[in-house]
Amino acid sequence: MKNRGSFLEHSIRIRVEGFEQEKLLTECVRRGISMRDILSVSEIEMSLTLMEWDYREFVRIAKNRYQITIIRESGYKPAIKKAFRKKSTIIGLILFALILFYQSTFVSELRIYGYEEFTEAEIRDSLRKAGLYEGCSKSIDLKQVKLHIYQDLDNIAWIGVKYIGNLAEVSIIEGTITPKPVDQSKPCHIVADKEGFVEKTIAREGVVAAQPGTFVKPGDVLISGIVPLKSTAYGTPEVDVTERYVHSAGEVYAKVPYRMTYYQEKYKYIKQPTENRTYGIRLEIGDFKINTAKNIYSYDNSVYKERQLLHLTRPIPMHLGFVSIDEVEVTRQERDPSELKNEANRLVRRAIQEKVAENSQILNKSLKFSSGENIIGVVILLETLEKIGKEKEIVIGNPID
Amino acid sequence: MNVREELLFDFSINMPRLLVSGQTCIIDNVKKIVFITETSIIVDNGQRFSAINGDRLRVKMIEEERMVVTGELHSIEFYSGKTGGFHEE
Repeated sequence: MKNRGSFLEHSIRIRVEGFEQEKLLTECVRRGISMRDILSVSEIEMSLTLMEWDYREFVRIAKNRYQITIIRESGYKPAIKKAFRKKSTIIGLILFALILFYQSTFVSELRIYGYEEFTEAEIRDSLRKAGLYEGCSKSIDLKQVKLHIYQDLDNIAWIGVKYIGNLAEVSIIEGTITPKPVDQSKPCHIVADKEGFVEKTIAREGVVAAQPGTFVKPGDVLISGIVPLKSTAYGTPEVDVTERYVHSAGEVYAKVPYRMTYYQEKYKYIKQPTENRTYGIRLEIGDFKINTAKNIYSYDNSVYKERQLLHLTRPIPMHLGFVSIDEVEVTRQERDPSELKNEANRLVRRAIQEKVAENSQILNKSLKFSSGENIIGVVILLETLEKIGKEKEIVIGNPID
Repeated sequence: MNVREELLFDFSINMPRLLVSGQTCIIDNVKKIVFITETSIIVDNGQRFSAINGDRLRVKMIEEERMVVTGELHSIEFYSGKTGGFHEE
């Protein structure tokens, strides 16, 4: 059987006028011409559908005994031909293809995986600063993005960025900072993990190495795991002292000083609006950016306001906003001392939250203000009582690996 | 129907074979179209003729000696006009 396509490809509906239509149909059957929807209107007229490649053969069979009129053509081939005959269709298709291509050059979705200690908002914020956000171009330098993340976020062990179409997948592996405790079977010292004055030492195992009042630095031994042993065995000289290695245990409390410097504005600035105002439109389509108001205004001091009218990420990143720029007169006024003190106390609270370890006791707190030309330096001094000390394995001999 | 009868039925390529279901009729072994109007269709199956009578008859398809007819079917007739009957051409 010949495979000549289907009626869906290209078919022709024709009207046949003439006598003895049965003979014509019979000849068509004999020659294997497929026909559809044969409608006998009268003895001399009928209409039927046949495939385009059979039409020539059909006309040859009909000769000049029948009048054949094409009523219509159907199928996807003539539909495509018809569509491509119109210039507007071609332009539309080209535009569609261009939009498709253009929108494929932007990141439309950002997914972050693997974060534990950081929040997604923190990582997104950092990525935005690095230039990777929903709506940004895919041609950004990913090496720079990674470098920025490593610098901006602490304790990032690895970061990977992968594009899947318009989706950017960011995978993060956070490093582990919790030191592994030394195995109970291995000898170890207790060493200081921060500097401070030793206040109290409770040694359960090992020898106290740092007496109260001693100033220790990170890494200094607080409780030693090397215990001197005087041998009493027969035949051993009394002066010979050997050593025994133990797994030290205990708590060491120390007074830890903190010194932090912050700066505050000496003056507060008051913005008094004048009557001058400029309006404009900000439009961003992909990398194309225009702000009509910014091109017009010429104020020395101004306040920029924007009302978002449209924001799209798909199919292409687009932003439309109504902009108003108000001219302002800026005057300055010295800040009230009580206001400065309140601000400084807020800084102290934040410093304690950020720097001081949990379960620490705050012994002393002092604030010192130093006035500059237009800034005020705030030195915060804190003294806390903290538990310092971490286990450090004693390595005997020279380890090979 | 035993195997012999089935084989004979399958290889009867010059005999009328019709399948009627509701408003559709499938005629196999169509060798020649003898008469075609909106109320009657007569075809030659080789050794015999088949006639379908009805209203608004329409040939939906003719392909590979098979004809599909739709419409309101009233009756089906068979003629053995090959040996001198009035249907013989």
